[in-house]
Amino acid sequence: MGAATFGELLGAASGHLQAAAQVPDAGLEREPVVAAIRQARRLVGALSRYLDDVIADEQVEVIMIRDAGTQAHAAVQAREALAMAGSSLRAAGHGIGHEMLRADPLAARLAEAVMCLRAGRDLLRTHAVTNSDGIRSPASRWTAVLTTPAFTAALLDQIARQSRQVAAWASALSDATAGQAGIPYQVRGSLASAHHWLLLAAAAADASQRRSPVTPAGELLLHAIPANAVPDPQPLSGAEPTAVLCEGIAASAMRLRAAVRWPAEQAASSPALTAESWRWTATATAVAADMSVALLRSLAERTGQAGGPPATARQLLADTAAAAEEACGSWRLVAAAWKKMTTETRGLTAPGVPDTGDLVLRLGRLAFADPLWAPARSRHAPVRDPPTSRRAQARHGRSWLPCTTRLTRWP
Amino acid sequence: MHYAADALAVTSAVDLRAVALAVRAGRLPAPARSLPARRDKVVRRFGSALATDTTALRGAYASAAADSAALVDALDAAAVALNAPTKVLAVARAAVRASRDGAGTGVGQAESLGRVLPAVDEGVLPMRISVEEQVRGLGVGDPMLLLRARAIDRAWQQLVAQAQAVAGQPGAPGEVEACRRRGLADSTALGVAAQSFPHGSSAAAASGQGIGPEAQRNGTAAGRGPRAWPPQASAR
Repeated sequence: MGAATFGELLGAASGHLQAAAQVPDAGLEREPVVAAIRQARRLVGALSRYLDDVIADEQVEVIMIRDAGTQAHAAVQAREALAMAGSSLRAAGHGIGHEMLRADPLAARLAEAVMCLRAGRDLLRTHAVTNSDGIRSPASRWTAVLTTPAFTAALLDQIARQSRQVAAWASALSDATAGQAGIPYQVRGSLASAHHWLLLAAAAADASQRRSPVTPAGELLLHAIPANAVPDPQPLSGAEPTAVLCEGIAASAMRLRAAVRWPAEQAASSPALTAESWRWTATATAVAADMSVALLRSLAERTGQAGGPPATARQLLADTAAAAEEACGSWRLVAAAWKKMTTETRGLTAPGVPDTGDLVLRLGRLAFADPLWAPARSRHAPVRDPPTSRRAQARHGRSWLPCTTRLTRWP
Repeated sequence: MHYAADALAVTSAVDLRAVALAVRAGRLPAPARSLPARRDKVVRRFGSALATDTTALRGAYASAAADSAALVDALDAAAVALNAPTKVLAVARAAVRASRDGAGTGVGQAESLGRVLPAVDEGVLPMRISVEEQVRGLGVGDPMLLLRARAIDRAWQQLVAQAQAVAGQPGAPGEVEACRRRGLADSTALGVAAQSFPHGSSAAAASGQGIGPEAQRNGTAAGRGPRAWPPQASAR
């Protein structure tokens, strides 16, 4: 898909922090230390803002519930500790002065980490829309994921890890500045204090894990969340290789999900939603389900073979194909039910129609060997990667192809 | 395939609500020739659709949307079992569901059980505590574990259905029976179709209608003029 994910940004931030922790033991000058401390303060602020988001919808819970083991309480305590760490770093910076700062590799690393963390938070915020009253409303499927305990646990874990990384950096810098000319003794004290508070922040973030431990699912979600961006239309361009077909299907699916995110109440008056569109969409959904049957059965037949799914998945794939078959039948009945009704307006004008069309055509070209597959051509198209056994081929020949042909000859 | 089914299931749910609202707003007239004759003898091209037809349409949408959701659930389980790249969709859905159900607290377990065993007829199969329910009862909210538990429950259901078929019990009824068990009246599209819809491919072929370029060339799409396939990008 090519879109950046939250995990990529977090990974980049961690990489920069690790590099920044390699503080030289000697030869530190005043200006680079000042620059690094200022960047560290910005970094702590960036981490703290993630906690603001965790707490945002839980303010009442934090006040009303005295149970200290919840994620919201952990976030509040970690935020307080980060605020104290930020104060210590500010004091350390003031202890040195306010000179103009020149570029320094140490500070640059920290600045890169700050940028990644801020970009990550911006990425998460694309999944919600905040109105003028400050009320957030969902903007994508991931909005609901962001508030799940699984995601929050993984996020708190990441904040704890990065707090420890910054703490390690503060400790290393404090040691390295010992006895350095031009760096006051108080700076070391402030850095030690920041180190202490950062470790406390990590411990506070970790505290909620006794009740809500980090799970593989939470980590998977944390790393996989993409930016909420609708991809550009990807019109069909003749025969496409499998990878392009898959990318096109995913893009059309994302566009379709975005296109139907409008209030259902508009259906009572919108001239774009026509009976023709609804009926066509029902038929297209039936065709898509039929393509799924073909693909799933092909996969089920190849279980246990070299390059195929494991043999244990055979029954599961067969069950899934049965579910697709049932969905196909149901959507055919919906299309049939539309024969008796109409709307004042006509035409295929519903917003999701173009992407549904692309989706179905690409699914068909994925399922069948004909690279220019279309519903009307399906009669002549063999199944792509057909099963090797003659018995299976015969069974597919009977059950899939006539089914698709019926759909093209339908309602 | 997983992405496609996922998006189409969302579309289905939206269409289900939109059609219900359109019916309620009286937006769906029917051609007069398909309606009973009026007493006032006034010639009109369209009239209000019959309540039985709109009820059937809504019932068909409800059934189809439920089947699309069931397909997505099945694909979720398959994606996790096969470690497919799209398993993140399954995990995201399971995480949200576990969060809404209050995993481990017992809230929403009945709803969850209903999803695991959608076709179980309480009169035919004895109810049992599902694996998913037991996992939730242990206070485990890990979506991966819950998905695996759901897959096990699904396999159990399949096995029992097969055993019933072998034993000759009435445990595998047809679509109309299934529809009735879901609480839909016989007047739904499924019921109507079971009585009058020509299922055979020859009957369908005889209708000479369809979608696609071939149908366009023949001018037979939906019995009206040519229809674009793929649809024009006007709505983009």
